[in-house]
Amino acid sequence: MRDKPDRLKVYEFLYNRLPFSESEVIEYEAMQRMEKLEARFEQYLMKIKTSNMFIHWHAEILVDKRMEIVNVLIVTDYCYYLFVLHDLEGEYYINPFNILCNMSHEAVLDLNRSRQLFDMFREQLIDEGKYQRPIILKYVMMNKAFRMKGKRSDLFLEEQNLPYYLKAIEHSAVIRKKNHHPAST
Amino acid sequence: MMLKARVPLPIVTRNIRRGIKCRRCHAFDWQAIGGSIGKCGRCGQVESVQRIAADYFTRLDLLYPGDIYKRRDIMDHLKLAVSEYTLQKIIHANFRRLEHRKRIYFFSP
Repeated sequence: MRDKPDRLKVYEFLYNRLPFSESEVIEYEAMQRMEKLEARFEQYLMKIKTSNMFIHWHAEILVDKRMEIVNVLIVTDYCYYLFVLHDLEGEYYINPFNILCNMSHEAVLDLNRSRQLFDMFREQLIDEGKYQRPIILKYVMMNKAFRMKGKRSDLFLEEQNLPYYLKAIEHSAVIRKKNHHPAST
Repeated sequence: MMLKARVPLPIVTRNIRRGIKCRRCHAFDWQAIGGSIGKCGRCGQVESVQRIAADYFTRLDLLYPGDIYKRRDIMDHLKLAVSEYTLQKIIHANFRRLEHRKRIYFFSP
């Protein structure tokens, strides 16, 4: 069962008890949006068997002096899955600099940071023994109105594909267990 | 492990508005109906008095960990018209006496 981040709990407690600054209001609203996305992701997760998985919610990581959020980290005996949730709506494209832009040509998401995030996890998630579990990072677009125009990227996972993806994780965690020795954690 | 949520807000002020507020609409119109349940006067949300009191002190403890409370402080925080019996139930469920001293408690659910 997922627990709300302490920071959000404190914000909720203080709302109406203290005047919030503009930046605090922005952060509080952003955390509420994130909480809703994580709750929706959890609904999908509840439909699969998670007994072979370790699930860590809402990790905030400092990457190049900026905080990045990995909303869900799923660890199986065979793989690490990192999910970053977004609620983008409308049409987007990836420009030649690997930045996701909207149709007004405004930068929305720097996909180059995914590499830094990935590298950071690769340095930290080191398994003992011979088998090093692969790390898979996915940006989950939790909005059915999200559309990609032009070049697509394997980094993105659309909401309509999420149940199948999670089912595949569940399936792989179970089937492989019969044939292979699990990685030691 | 490196994965860790950020620490709670560095709030230093103690001038927060006390009292139970509605979880849904954040209004301070929450009133106990009898001993076990209460209702928000604005949106009508109904909740258990025990649960909402426990929730209040859990979150207060995130802000001010390790604070001690006198019986009067607890009543002042809750700002609810509850019977002595209900208040004792709330205290016994959420607090421990500080070194066997009478009526001085710390939060320990």
